[in-house]
Amino acid sequence: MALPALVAGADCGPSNPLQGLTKRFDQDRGLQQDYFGAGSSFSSSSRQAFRTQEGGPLLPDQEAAQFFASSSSQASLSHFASNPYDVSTLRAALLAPQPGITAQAPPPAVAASWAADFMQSAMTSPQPQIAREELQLPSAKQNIHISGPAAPPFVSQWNTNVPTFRPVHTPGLALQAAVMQQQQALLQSNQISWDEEFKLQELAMASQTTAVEPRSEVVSKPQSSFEGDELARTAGMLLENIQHEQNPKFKNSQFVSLMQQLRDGAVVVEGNQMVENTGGVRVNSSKVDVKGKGRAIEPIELTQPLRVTSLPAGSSLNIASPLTQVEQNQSTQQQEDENDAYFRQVNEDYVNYWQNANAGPVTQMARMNTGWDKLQEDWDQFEATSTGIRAINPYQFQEGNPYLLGDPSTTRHHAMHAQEQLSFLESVLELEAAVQQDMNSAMAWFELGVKQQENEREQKALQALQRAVDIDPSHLPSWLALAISHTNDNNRLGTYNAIREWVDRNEDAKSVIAGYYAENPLSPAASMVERFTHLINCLIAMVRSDASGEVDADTQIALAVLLNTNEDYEKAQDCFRTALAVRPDDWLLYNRVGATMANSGHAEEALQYYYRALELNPGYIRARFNLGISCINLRRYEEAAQHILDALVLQDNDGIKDAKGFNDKRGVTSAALWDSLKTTCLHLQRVDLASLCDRQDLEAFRLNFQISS
Amino acid sequence: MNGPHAPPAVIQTPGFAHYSLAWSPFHTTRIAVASSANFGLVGNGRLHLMSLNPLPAGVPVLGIDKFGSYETQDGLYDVAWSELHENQLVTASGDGSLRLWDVMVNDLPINAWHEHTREVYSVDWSNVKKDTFASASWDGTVKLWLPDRPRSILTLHAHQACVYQALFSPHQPDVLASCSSDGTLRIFDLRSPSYVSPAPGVNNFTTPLSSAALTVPASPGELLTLDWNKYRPFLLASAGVDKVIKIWDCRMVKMGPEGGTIGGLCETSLLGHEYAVRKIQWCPHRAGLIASASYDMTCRVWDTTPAPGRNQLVYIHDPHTEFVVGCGWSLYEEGVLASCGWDQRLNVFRI
Repeated sequence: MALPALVAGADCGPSNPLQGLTKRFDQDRGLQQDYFGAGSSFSSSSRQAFRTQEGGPLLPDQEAAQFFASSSSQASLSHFASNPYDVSTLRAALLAPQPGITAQAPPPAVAASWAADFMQSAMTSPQPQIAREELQLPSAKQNIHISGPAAPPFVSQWNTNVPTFRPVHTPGLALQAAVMQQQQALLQSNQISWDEEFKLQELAMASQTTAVEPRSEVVSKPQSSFEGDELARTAGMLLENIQHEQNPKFKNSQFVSLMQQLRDGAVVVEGNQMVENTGGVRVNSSKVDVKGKGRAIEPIELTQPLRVTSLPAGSSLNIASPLTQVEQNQSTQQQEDENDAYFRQVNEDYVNYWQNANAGPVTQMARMNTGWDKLQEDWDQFEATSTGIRAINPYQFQEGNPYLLGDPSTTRHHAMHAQEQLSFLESVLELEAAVQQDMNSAMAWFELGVKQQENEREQKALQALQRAVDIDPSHLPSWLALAISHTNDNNRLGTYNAIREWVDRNEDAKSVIAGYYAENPLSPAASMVERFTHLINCLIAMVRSDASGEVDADTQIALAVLLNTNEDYEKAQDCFRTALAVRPDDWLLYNRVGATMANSGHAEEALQYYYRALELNPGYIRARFNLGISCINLRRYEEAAQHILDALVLQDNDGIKDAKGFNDKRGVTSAALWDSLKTTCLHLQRVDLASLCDRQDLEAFRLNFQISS
Repeated sequence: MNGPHAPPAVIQTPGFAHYSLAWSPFHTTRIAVASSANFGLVGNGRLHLMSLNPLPAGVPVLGIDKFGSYETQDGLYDVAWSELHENQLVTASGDGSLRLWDVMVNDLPINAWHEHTREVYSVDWSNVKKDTFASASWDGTVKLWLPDRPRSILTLHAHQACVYQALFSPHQPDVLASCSSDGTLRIFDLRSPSYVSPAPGVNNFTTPLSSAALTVPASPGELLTLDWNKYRPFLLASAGVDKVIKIWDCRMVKMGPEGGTIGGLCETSLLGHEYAVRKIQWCPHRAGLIASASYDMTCRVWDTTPAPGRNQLVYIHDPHTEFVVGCGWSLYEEGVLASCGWDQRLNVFRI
């Protein structure tokens, strides 16, 4: 079997004999990692304490659950490892003035989360091996205690709660789903008491250790870093599970020693052979293991920033003990126990320290921490730019945009110099690329937003337009477009606010507006209806005041949007038509008139407006969609399906296809279109097509639809 | 519990960890051993052929000799002797291939098949329909073969997970049992191969599953091994990661919906192994005896129906120094058991 097969993930149980073996020895690691991420490290390790030998029979559908539980270990592992270490440089910078107090301090009273953070940071550092090892330490300890004849009190406590669980020395592989659930429930109900017991245990352990021993771990930790491949990791896992095996046969086993060598990188797989490592893989030293192998000291590694070194001053650790003591310790036989004890002690000290800190008369530190956390949270909402700080916009660009790759100036320049009418030929991708090239251009964001509106992607349009007005609040068309997006989103307040901004920032009619405000002051306690009425009247005043006799289309549109929101469709229609008279080539306006008509129940008349809009801009997806909706309302389902399908195809074309030829982001086609299409298909009595809609399988739908029609 | 026992006959195969052994059904003394270099992690495989020295009656000590071996490109995980031809045997390989060997032909196999996409973990030759053998693979399938056909004659999509072992019933010609890492033991009726009707949202085309005559949810962990009792039809034993050997009476099954049945009555549980049990085999001479090999480095013999007051555990064979992965009863001499393991030793001993 070739090496690639060895390192491949466990897609179906073990991918190599060794891995399979580990699983047999192993507890369910995938689960443990999950728990670890979710709860405190203490409670997660407690899971190891109970294993069952005899479970009830499995229900058939539990098989699958169980299988996936066991095979998910790889996936969750990598997920775990990919978790970024969340203390960003930003935070560091922010906290710099207060290093002594807050530098490494998570919120107090969550001692366990410190441990979790510690593990996590170790996981993400290039030392996966040791991290996992430490993760296992408490659990391994647990097994020993429980299988021993004299069980500590907490064991009996567990057993009274879980009479059916038999603690066993080596956990089997796949936990029964039922058992898992029970454990979960127990974890929840007994978490607190268990933690207390654990702390008692910790205290007992800690009292047996000296101050020197912890030092040895501090030194040895970085040394044991080894960029282990999958095989080495598996070997490590296997060894963890038998490290407390008393049987001398295991101590003398060649296989076990081979596993140790694999784990430590002393032996690597080359081609079809296991060979002594000749330096191809970096090996710092042999690892700390049950046999207490010697460890080389690499002083350089000591400078690595360990979080241990930033322990609070209250810690009783003797960090400064000389290195010679460490070397004496290397011959100690019970390394693992010491490490274990060390971690327990550190945790204990940490808990005590923070408890004392909080119990003190001045909880200033706690408050400060809370304050900083709040600040950090708030800060995370913003981003720093050259001009200042502003909120992060959630707009998600499509990945792999080809327009970003080429010469950025070409497309933009062409677009700039081209006629305005040509802008509908631009694709969303093009506009996104433009935005990505200049994130601070309100104009680019505005164009993108309008394009997304046309393409019937309301959320994206909203985000883009919001961004545009954030960057340049004086850009009036953005406000107007934003108002329309809010209308489509059924956000009355948003519409009102956007129009309001538009009015307030309107320079041309400043005097009129000021005059109107002076005459009709708006009380702060005014209801929504009153506010709307007030704003509508203000706009009407603006229209009337226009002495030149020319119609200002934007004012008409703003008014129409407001009226539309107020479900005053007749008037809204009038306003749009007025605007249309001024801008006879604005396809957006045709669509709006059509939509307003359709909303007021004149679907038949709306059609011609949609047709006109599509004539002006064949790629206008929203108009096409609206046309489809109107056709549904007119019970012309065949036609409707064709229109909506066309809209979907257009929308789909405007996305990035990945290498496999299909879109991995289904969000590119919007769910609203699919839902409408499904409805249409159901009306057509085509259940087969409707099920394709559920799967959003555009290609299959198109084929089936064309064949049948 | 163990009386004075003669030391086992031992033969060592340096460099090759054993994975499985099989006694010849024709020659009273022949044993085949499948083995892999580097504990089966990487590297080659080797098929060893051993023979017990015929000793004068009454001499308790067994002798053992090696009389042949074959090299393979990939590790060997299982071996089965032909029930049709005294000199032929088939091996299961880590690369998914099966090879048919003839002990009279040196070096090369006389036939080879490569259909499985992952490691083949078990082969079994039917001793009822003696022209057929079955292979079980981690790709989730069990395949049936005839030695003279270039392709498999039937593929069972037995489990959605790794299949560790598949064995023909020694009583009925077309009944086969399999066990898997999904923790279930399944019995298939080969006369009516059909597929499980798809559940909603499950594509039966891409993930087919053969419908089992009976599914026994035997273990919460992986099920590594099973065996049919040689005397009582539909009495099966299973064992695996949960360290318990369970004896199943599969006659008492109720028909469930859609014809598929789930059930099996656990008659006995044998507890004692400290790690996963890798291999079990019923004694061919006494209905109640069963041998087991385990990762706890022991091979044990159990009596599933002990006389009142007697222990279930009959014998512990402890000399192995690595995981014991194979065990097998001599078909001709009662009470002779062979065991093999990763310590590269084949031990043959009397109970």
